[in-house]
Amino acid sequence: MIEIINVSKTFGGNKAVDNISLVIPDGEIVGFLGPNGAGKTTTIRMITGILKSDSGSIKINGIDIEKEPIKAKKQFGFVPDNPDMFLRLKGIEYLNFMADVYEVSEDDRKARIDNLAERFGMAEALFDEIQGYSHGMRQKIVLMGALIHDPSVWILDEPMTGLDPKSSFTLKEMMKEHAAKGKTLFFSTHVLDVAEKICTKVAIINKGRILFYGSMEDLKYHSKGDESLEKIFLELVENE
Amino acid sequence: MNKMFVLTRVLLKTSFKFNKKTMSLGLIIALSMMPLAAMVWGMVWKAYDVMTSVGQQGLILWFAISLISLLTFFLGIFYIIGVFFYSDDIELLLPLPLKPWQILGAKFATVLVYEYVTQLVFFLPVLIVYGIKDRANIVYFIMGLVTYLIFPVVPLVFASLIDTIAIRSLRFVKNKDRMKTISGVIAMFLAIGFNLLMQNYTKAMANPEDIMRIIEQGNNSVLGKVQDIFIVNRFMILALTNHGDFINSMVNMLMAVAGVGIFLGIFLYSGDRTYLKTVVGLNEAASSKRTKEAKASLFKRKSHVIAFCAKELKLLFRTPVYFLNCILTNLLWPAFILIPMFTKAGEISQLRNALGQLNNVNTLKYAIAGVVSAALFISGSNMISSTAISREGKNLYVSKYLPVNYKDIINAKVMAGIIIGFTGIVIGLTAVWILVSLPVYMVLMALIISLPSAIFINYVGVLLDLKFPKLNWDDEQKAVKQNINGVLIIFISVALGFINFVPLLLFNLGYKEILIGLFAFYILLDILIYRIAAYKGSRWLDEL
Repeated sequence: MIEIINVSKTFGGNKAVDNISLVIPDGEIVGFLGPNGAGKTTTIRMITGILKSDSGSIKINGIDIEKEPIKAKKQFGFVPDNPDMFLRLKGIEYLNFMADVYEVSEDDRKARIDNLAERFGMAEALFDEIQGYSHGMRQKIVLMGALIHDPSVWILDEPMTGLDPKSSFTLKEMMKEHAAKGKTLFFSTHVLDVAEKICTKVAIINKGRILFYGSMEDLKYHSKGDESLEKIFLELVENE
Repeated sequence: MNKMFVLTRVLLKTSFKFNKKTMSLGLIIALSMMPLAAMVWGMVWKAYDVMTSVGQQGLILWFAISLISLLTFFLGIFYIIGVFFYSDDIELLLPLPLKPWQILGAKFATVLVYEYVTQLVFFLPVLIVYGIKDRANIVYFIMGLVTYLIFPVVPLVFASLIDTIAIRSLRFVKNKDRMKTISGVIAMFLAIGFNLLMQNYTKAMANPEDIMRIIEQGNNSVLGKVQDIFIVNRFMILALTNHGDFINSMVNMLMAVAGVGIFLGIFLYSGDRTYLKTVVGLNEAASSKRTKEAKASLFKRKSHVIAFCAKELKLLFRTPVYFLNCILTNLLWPAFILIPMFTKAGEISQLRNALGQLNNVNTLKYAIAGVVSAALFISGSNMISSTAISREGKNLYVSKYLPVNYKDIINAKVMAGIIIGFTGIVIGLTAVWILVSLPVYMVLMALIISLPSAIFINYVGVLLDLKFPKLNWDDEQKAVKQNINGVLIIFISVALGFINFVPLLLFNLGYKEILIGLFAFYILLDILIYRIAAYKGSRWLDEL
């Protein structure tokens, strides 16, 4: 579970995130939607401890990210929006580095690497340096690294970008499985179709404020009848 | 043509940024180059007097221009391979509606500008001193300016020719990383060779008869050949030496300009036809040979500090810029200093004699302070710690979301610096031990007393870089080469190096006191700075 309570963040007089509160419960897939520059990535960066909030508190599985950062960070696996990191490590070295960081035992890491590589079709590529990977493959290796410790909370920033259809399908399946196990899943996306298909709840943010947070049914109910998410989204954001 | 100039301006702007930081870095570099320029000035001044006595003062210009052409050519090979073929902007430039010769021309111009900066140290003093001593008129100085601007062109054209041939003919060169590393290693050895050559010449310059001998020999030596290859140099030299005769001088300079123009034309014309073919596909990283089975050791669970340190070392070794600037310089420094010494049999015995004095307690105490100072300098000058945070660049945020104590990350970075720095110290001491048969116990003692100081300077480096990191870069080169922390840490290590000698000068101490004293001093500093790193350093990293 992720609890965001009255969180704000200002950059040079500009309110990037304005007193937002969100609770991401277990067992749900929560999509985080909003136009460019709405505050999605800033919010995610505060949840993961990359940025400090100016006020409010953020808890992951009940652990405050600012008060007990190490303990809180162990709760989640995070995929940042840009997968260009550790480019001169080989895929397998990166995964083992992440396994060391998350203190995963030798047996567990072997089994998980095999399983994830199999599902994402990465078994061959693991022995190449990441800089030779395509964008989608980099996305996959970062995703694999984030899941290596089998975290109960997944936080994914634009996880579908650059993935081929098969991997995208695999990831969506994995997300559903994860939520079905009663665990937490919070991801941001631009792709409304994806949100529409797999999210059980959506949060829509614009100009640092949450415009809507609720189930897909609620969202459709609030709008005029049977409109597509795209249309509802555009109306919400434009009426701001 | 216009497009070429626009591109040149853009390329220059991105490589020479003027702000407080770069200006102060530039100032420090300029100041440190002053002694070298002064040395050139002095050499030419002396040489002129000697050569006028036989009416051959013009040979000085010939000698200088030939030597600098050769230097430009060698350094150009490495400049150009980076700028023409391995720079990151190529991928952005290729899709633009530019003709290959326009890209080449603009890139050539940026290399030329670098060359002009280098010449400030090596060529400007020669031109000025010769002008003053020769009581030259305005014609000389105008011709001098033109020469300054055009003479690097031909050596650089030759250098790009060699690079193009190398890249097109050698398959293995096409792995970008490997080639960068290989060319860097070759450049380093050429630099050592050039260093040797220069040392021979500077020694000779102390003795007027030798100056004449060397310059006269030059006519038939390597430098004479240089003259044949860089044929237009001849006209420039004639234009300069005949400054009294305006027409003669002018005609020669026109010939030189025309010659340079022809070379440039051929370069752009042939480049226009070959550049694209050479460069397309070069930017694809070649994949390594597949090892199907991962080594079992890879899966072995490691502590946070060890995991981060191993990652740090892998990146240092695999990133060409880091490897050349941080690892190779650190491991090769003994070669730089020791090889010239050992090329002369006389000096080796001198050194042996000097080191033989180590049994003398009076010499020994200075040697102990010297070893500690050398350890500081070696560990400081490799820049591993002082750029440790900067090298993370925009990816610094990754260490923020991983569940690892900032203290562990700092210690891992320090550890990587210590491992490489200490390896350099071991190599240096081993070289001394083998070559001058120093007693083993002394080598071991030297190793033990260098460790605490090496640890200390590495912590200083990381803390310095934590306080003033350079994170906003788009090219790895900028993280290490244009990082003022790399320069500051050298100053700090040199200053500490002097401090090591202070107690020796102030008090009448024996070697045992100084040995124990310095060892204890640095152990205490280590404990102190370890605590500072854990508390303050972690906070600084948290705030970045």
